[in-house]
Amino acid sequence: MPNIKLQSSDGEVFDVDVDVAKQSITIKTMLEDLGMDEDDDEAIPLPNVNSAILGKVLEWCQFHKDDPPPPEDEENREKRTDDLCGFDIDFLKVDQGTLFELILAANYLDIKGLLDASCKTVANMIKGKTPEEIRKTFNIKNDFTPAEEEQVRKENSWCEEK
Amino acid sequence: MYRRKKRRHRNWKKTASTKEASFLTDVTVQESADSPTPVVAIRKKNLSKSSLLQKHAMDGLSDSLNEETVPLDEVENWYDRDLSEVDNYLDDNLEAEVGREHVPKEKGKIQSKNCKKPEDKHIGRDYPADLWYLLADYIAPEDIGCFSALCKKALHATNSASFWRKLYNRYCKHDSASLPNRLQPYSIRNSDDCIRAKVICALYRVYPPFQERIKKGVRPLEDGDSHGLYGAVCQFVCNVGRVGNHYYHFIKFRHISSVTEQNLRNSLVSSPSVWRNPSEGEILLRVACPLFQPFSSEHIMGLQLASISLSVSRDMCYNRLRLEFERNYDKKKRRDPKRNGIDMYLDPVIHVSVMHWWHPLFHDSFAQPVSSQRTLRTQTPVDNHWDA
Repeated sequence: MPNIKLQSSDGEVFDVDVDVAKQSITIKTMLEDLGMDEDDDEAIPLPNVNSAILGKVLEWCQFHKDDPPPPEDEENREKRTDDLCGFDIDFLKVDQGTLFELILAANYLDIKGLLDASCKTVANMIKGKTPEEIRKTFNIKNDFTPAEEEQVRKENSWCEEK
Repeated sequence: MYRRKKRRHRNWKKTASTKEASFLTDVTVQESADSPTPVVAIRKKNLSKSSLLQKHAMDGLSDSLNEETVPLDEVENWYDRDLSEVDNYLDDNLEAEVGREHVPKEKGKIQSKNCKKPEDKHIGRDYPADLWYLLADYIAPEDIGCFSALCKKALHATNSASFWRKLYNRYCKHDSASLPNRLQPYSIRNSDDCIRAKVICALYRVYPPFQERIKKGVRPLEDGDSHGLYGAVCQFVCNVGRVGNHYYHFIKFRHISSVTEQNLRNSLVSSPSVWRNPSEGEILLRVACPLFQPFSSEHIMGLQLASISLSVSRDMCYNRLRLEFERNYDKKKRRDPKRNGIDMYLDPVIHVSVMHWWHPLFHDSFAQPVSSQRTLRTQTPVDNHWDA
């Protein structure tokens, strides 16, 4: 199997199987459209992903390399969040910072499966929690003033079970 | 206080051989702290911060020595300085160290008890907007309120027409046959106007978790203002007549937003047309009675609801509903028993329930002209709901 080299934002180079790397539509497009040769020694730069996250992404891609491509019209389907496979559940048991970094990396690299799994994990973690609890869990900055927060709560009173 | 200062000065003078040497080698807060005659001003504030005080005292003194270019002989002796200078310096640095919000101090004033402690205020990280837009697509309808209350970027992610359209396509489109015309896919597809309110109404008709809430029945009236009815202006009164086994009265209220609230809303909402909702703040009170009881609306129209209560009816078999209206109701002010208001009674009453704008019956109740009570009576599904 031919390999390609991927270079993370902090300069680390990963030697990866082409089929594994091509799960990323961004990398696949680079290889196809920009005429980058699989046997080329030059590493593909990925300036938005650091080595730690790229390592995790490639680990996920390695496991899911034989998965069928995701269906086309998924946007209009109900997003179930309870259909994660066992590997994904364990794989995504990481700290909140890594989880958010994985979402951004999956979006940048255009890996639908990983984006789905990581977003569903966050959505599951949000369920049943108050905004303050979620902020603490994910270390999110609250940039609302108390008056704004109260106004947002009023606007969303339709969500509350009355 | 004055005496203690002097005594300490004398102790210092005994141990110092030269000014230079003493400044660089002998002066430590540790010594002061451990001395048999402790300095009251420092000790007071020193109880929980001794290690930090040491560090900052040494840093501060050595920094000031390094920065000053005047000969040491001309430097004012530290023991000639007022101790409050040292205290202020240490306190300022300590506050910066623990990340406390800086509150300017005035001598002789006690710090406010409301001053937040560092653990009360969670700082957190400011994540990129992309993340919130990506996550928004995976949030279940019942979690949207919580999600959008996390931060401004999360709120903006739920502000767009595309967000609501996607939500509709995901949860409502498959069951659109059961939706009324105004909530049909073409209505959602063709216009951004009121799209948020439309999708919310559609969700309450077809999304199972929200349907469950509706199936539980309309919320009965409870004590107090748990429904947020107080202060709402009476806008509409309708005597529907007999539907099923009961006679129904509807009273529609509306909360009028203040200018401040409107400005606040405008500042938070980036797409006003998406968030526009003609029914915003409207609440419908539905009163089921065993007998027809005509009541006039002319006296209560435009008045604010100040109180609502249920008690036992005169015949002891049902309830008695009392509605108190005032012209200038103020939630914050204690109510004057001799106020100039209007009380309205309905007796006997079987059931009183409250419906908000997103409840399917809220719009269905007025889908037909008010006068055409016969048409309403023939709507079997509605009848079933009403008797629930």
